[in-house]
Amino acid sequence: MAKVIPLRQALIGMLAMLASLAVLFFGNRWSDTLLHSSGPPGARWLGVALAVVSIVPWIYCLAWGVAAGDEYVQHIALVGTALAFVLDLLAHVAFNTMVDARLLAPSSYLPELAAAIACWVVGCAIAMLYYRQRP
Amino acid sequence: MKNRLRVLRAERNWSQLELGNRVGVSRQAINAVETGKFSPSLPLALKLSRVFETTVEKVFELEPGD
Repeated sequence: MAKVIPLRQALIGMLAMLASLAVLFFGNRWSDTLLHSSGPPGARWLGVALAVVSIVPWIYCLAWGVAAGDEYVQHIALVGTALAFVLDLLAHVAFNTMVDARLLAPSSYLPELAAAIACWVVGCAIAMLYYRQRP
Repeated sequence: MKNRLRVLRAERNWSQLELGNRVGVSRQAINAVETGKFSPSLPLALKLSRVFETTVEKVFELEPGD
């Protein structure tokens, strides 16, 4: 860890991250069930709320991890997030263009959350490599 | 920006990890500052100069292109 944090705190952080991923996974599954149910609109609204709220613990864990780091880690995360924004934008434009060009089936869709996570990971990796390799 | 971290560290026989612990940052951060790949914030620069019991100007120096 960037700043020295106690092992106990690091373990709690890791467990919280795993728990947040479980909330994300099961929250989305439950949300899908509600969204595709033939019940009242209230159930679908609950599905929408659940889809959004289930992401929050994971984002909180990420933010905690970045905040626990030193300024070098935070700088890399900041640059990586900016890169991720651009990568996500490019991925969406590329995907939509491929659908328009009928290179992909019209019914295909880009999994938003997975794309965002992948872009953030790639963005941070690029930022880290850049700060390691720059002259 | 040039710096004399490596020299000052060697004079005291401190590792990057030890220096990092003294100022509250990681070994990677010290390495990045030392090799000029990352410019530290003002608080970190002040902390570094404080642990070496000197001034910021004697640790960090601007280069002509900066």
